[in-house]
Amino acid sequence: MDSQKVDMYILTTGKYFESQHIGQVRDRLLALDDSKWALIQTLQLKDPQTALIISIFLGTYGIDRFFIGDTGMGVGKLLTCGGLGIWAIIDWFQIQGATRQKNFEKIQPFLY
Amino acid sequence: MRQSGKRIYLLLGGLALAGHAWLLYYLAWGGPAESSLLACPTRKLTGIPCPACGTTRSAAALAQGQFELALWTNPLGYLALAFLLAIPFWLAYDLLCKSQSLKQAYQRAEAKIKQPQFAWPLALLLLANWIWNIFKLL
Repeated sequence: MDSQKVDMYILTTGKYFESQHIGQVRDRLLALDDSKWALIQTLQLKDPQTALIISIFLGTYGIDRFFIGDTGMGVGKLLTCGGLGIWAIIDWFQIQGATRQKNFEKIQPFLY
Repeated sequence: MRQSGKRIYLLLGGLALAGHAWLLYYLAWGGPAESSLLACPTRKLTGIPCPACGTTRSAAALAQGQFELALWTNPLGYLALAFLLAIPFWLAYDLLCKSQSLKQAYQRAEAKIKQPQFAWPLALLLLANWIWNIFKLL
């Protein structure tokens, strides 16, 4: 794909990925066929900051985990009062990384 | 949505271990009489019970053979105790036989409950249980 297009994409979505993954995403996008551009653009990535806000206010109910698509862990948090509150607090610090990881997993099938 | 297998095993194992420790602590030192033992942060902060409030009391009642009391306290106690009883054996089986059946079951279950035809009824059931919890003033 056109490097200008890819750089623009990386510029706008960079905050959705872990920094160590950005290089890999960029390399794969450059090697990608132009026909996949529309698909990549419509891909719904989750904002780590939104996830953090949800985690702070509704983390006890596991809503943050549901939001990023980690349904299993969401149910786990919901049915244990947020792991008696401990898991909920741990997730305040974990959720941003988890969101970026999930975004990376989400874009993977389109890159290969 | 692939998740690393190790994380799932750590999560389920840790959850089961914490659950056993908590239930043991509750049965040994808490007891049903001591109503000051509140672990739920929502309940502590707002006074309104969360959907899972009463699960410990229910599981403890089950462990002591009071099936009816457990059902009236919170039906989720049955689920919790089943989880606590099954997971250690399943983990041990997977470890000994080098199988990945628990991880595969977890991923299948996660994919299932993401489908609307399963997600909505489960969510409504949980909501009904929550409303019941609030009326019971757990």
